[in-house]
Amino acid sequence: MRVAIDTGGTFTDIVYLENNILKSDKVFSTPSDPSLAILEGISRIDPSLKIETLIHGSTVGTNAFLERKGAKIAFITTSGFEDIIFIGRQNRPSLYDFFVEKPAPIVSQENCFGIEERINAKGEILKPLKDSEIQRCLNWLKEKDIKSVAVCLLHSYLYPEHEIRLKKAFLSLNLPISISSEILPEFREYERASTTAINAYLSPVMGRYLNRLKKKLSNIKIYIQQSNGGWLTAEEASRFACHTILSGPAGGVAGAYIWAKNLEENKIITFDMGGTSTDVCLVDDKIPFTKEYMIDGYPLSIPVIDIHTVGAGGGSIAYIDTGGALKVGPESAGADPGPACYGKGNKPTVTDANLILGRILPEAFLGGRFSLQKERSEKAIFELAKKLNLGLEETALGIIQVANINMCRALRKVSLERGYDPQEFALFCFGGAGGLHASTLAKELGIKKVIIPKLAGSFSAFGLLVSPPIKDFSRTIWIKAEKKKKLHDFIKILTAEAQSYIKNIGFDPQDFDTEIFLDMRYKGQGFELTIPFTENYIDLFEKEHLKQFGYLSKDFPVEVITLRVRIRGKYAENSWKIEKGEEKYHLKQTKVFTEKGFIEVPVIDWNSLKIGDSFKGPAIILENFTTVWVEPEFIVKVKENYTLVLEIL
Amino acid sequence: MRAIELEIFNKLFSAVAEEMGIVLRRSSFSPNIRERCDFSCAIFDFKGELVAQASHIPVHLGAMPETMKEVLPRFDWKPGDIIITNDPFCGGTHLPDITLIKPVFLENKLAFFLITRAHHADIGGKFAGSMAVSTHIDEEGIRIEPTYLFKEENLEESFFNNLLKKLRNPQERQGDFKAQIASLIRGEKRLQEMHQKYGLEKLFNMAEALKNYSQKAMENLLEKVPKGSYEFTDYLDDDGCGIEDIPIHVKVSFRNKKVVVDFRKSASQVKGCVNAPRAVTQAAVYYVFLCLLNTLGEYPFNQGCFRPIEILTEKGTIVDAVYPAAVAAGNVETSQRIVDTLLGALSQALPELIPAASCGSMNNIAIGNDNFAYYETIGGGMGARPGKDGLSGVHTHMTNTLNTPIEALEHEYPMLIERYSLRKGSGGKGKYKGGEGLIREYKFLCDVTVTLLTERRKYAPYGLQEGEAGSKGENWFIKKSGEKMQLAGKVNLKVSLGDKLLILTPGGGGLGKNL
Repeated sequence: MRVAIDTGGTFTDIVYLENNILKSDKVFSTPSDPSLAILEGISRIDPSLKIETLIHGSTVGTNAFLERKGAKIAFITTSGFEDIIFIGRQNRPSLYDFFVEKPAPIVSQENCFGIEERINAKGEILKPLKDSEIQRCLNWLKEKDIKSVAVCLLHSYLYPEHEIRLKKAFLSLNLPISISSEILPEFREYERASTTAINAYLSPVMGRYLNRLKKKLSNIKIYIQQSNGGWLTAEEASRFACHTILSGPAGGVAGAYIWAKNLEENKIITFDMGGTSTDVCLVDDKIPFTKEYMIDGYPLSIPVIDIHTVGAGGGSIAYIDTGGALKVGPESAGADPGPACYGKGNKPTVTDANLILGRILPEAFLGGRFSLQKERSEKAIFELAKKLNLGLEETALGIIQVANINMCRALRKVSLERGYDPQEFALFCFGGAGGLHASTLAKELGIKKVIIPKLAGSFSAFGLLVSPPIKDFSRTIWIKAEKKKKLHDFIKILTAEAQSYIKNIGFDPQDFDTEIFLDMRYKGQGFELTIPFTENYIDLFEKEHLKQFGYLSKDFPVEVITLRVRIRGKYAENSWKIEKGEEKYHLKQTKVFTEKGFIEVPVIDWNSLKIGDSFKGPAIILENFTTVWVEPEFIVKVKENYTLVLEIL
Repeated sequence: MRAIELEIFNKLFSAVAEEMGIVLRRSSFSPNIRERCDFSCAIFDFKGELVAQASHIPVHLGAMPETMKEVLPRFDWKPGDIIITNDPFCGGTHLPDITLIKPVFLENKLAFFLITRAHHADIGGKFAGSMAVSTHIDEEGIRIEPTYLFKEENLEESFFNNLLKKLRNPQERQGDFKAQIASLIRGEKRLQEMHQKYGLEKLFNMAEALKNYSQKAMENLLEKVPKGSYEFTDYLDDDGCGIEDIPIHVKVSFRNKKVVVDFRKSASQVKGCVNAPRAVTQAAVYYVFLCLLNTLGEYPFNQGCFRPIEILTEKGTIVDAVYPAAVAAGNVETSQRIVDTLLGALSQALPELIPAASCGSMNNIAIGNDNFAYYETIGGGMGARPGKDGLSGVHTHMTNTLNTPIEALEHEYPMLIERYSLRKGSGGKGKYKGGEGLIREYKFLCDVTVTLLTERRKYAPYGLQEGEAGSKGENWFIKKSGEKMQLAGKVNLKVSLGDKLLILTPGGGGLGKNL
């Protein structure tokens, strides 16, 4: 049997299939050693179900990076360019700020080494790499107390041999070696160097963690979800640790894509609201990717699902700034101390506001395993209300309105600002806190339909369970688009390499499909568009260019900059359904505070609903790990697998 | 409910300005706009007061209120109008920065104005790219006094076609104009949607409330400054045409909730292109006070912030140039020195907030021949801050444009970058160290002409509180033969295949005594 486990900041979610029935569970995360929560989660599964495979969404890499707890690394580059990681794009992160800081470094300056060699922009050797130079570098490395090595030489995407020779020479050090021509064989030296350094920085951490996990789960085969929405072996995840950065959120989008397809919805905006942040992603028939992802100030230029994140979640803290405006976030109370109502912290959060408004029922939180303390929320928000000279509920409503405007902003960014009209999309909502806000946000943006899956509270884990294995390959080739013969040759070479690679790591290439993409642009442009390869790829490029930018430049030649090959497993878990759960909540009516004051609202146990049911808002719908607040303007329809579809009247 | 509405409307208005910026960047042609993000967008109300802006280029944004002040009374505004201008003597910055202004009518009333300003790759004139050592505004390109681009939805075709004819690469220019117009139309659409939802009165009330809120914040800041007057003089190295040691002088006086920034003792305008139009000076002053405001909290940047600030300049000076002054570098170099001068004065009043002088130059380099033209700027060291070292190898103060990847540059232009590194030891020593400048070495693979517009080659970025000055910048020309000679700060130069150019940008000043 296959089980998927997603480690989040607050909760670790478990989803598995038992006789084709989807089951889910949730335990508190154990940040000091995430494997403890995984073991707990597994121990709660019926032991007669033999677990063979674990698909795991991990935050180990992300957290190690954000907390700068990665390995001590050495960075080797072409002489004269030792500082490229420190210079970056020479811009500062904020404009009107005398005290602006660059992101904290991931390598120290004395651990950067310039090696004598030089390749030019045609891939020709201008200065050969001498053996004596390799030896000099090796001697230098031996003197250093480092745990991992990153190598990025200029133009190595065209001529990787120098990097490969260095890697061979460094093997004797018995350290993980990340070379840029393997990690990201694409042009733009800073982005490539940064990505390679991130990989070197995280590889030892990821390797240690996965080794530990493997020892504890010695009978289970472990796969790790990557930022591209597919999983690969634990060994690959250790070697290419930079691919695990958006592991969990990528699972959520991959899951939403599949769930929505089953409902015949191809246009969705995913809305994943958690404790500290909210992730949104616009899916217009296909999952979008970006190569411009930034993590904490550093470019990570591998293909990553194009998820936009804002610092607004259930734990976001509300405060009044010195000028008297009410602000919410980005500071979060997180899981510890958590919102005031969790019993530890004192600061008012979005969750506390929802509790005051009556949209969260204190006794129904986390399946009743954990009772919320409403009086603590009242106390925390009362402090704000006093300063604002407003009532308790009005203040709480204000907190929700300000949090919503932040999330609205994120939804606008992925839709309106990119030329998509949100009204043509359904809002696909998940994450512990999403259901409380989705219908209000939909109303705000004119979105007509909200979809909330029964598994909303552990949806990323569901996504992991149904995701295929994926491995991405790329190479900057930089040729004129009309050179078809040359392009075909490159495609043949890279495809063959990709297939032999996937075979070498223990998969059967027969089980995989190959997808080919081209990064194209008009000569002289600064950004490329990624186009799926077909015989009329130039027409497709122009069509996409027209759509995104509103014009064509027939006078400029078209170039193919980078070739991408994606190997995607045909296998995906597809025969599943959800069973009606046990009814738990018997409260039938409650009071909810809205713009119109308190209104009477029916409370409905999700497990009491039948497929085909339909009723009008307002309503509160409860499930073990999710609460849904339905605005009065919506009608709720219960679709297959007990999915709630909220449609505006 | 005011506290809640302020935050909501602040976000709503600034989202409009930001979205305008995104539309412009995505649909424009000039590398300056697309890649280096050299553009800005803002919303003004019918009174010509700034309501919201997107954080783009400080030198643009601070100049826009001056543009509105000049342009608003000149026209009988009608729906569908779009006004175009780049006139430095009418609220503009320098000629390549072209501004489009669109009035937005709601309920048949003139309600708002939308502005986009973008640095076009060329605006005609003697030199490709319109950035060279010049001595007369007419050499720098076409000057467009505020005029109709569209009059009630109708394009002024003969004007537009005439304009395009005078520009290099008119097709690309036309694309950039289209992008600017698209951005205005998007902004108008969003304001109309806001109007539908909230009504005109609410929009006006909230715009006013936001301005008052920011004004109050700025007044709070000014009140905290010890009362009195503070003076400082800093110098531009030269104008590239023989005039050296050009003083910029400021006297800053704090009175009840007000500040007067008086530049009237600064030098007269000069022959070379370092003259700053008044709008640039104003932008530099606003930049400094917005940074100070930022130390109190995150406030919306709008006209309210500027109300308590009075700026005094004298026409015909280096900080308030009049026709026919050359101004190409006023925007990129003099603007930085105006900031340095003002910070020098403020450091006496607010030693706990004011950084030592930063690099003080955008280190402009234009390279080209008949086949190509390339322009870039190089960052330097940031001045040390009270309690913090300065950052190394960054753009500071009035700009924040990106560098071009070396692998892209070498692929597209006939040159090699031989070195791109931090200039170690260039930051001024002190308790807090100034940031390091940059070193960039170019090797040319064919014959080209190079223009350098650089500063702080003679006057070093100053240190504060006994911190040492940062290193001065240096420009070196290395002939293929190996012969090495130091270049002036501003120069037009012919170089041959195999020659090299070595630029060392200034480090930031240090702060506090080095122990």
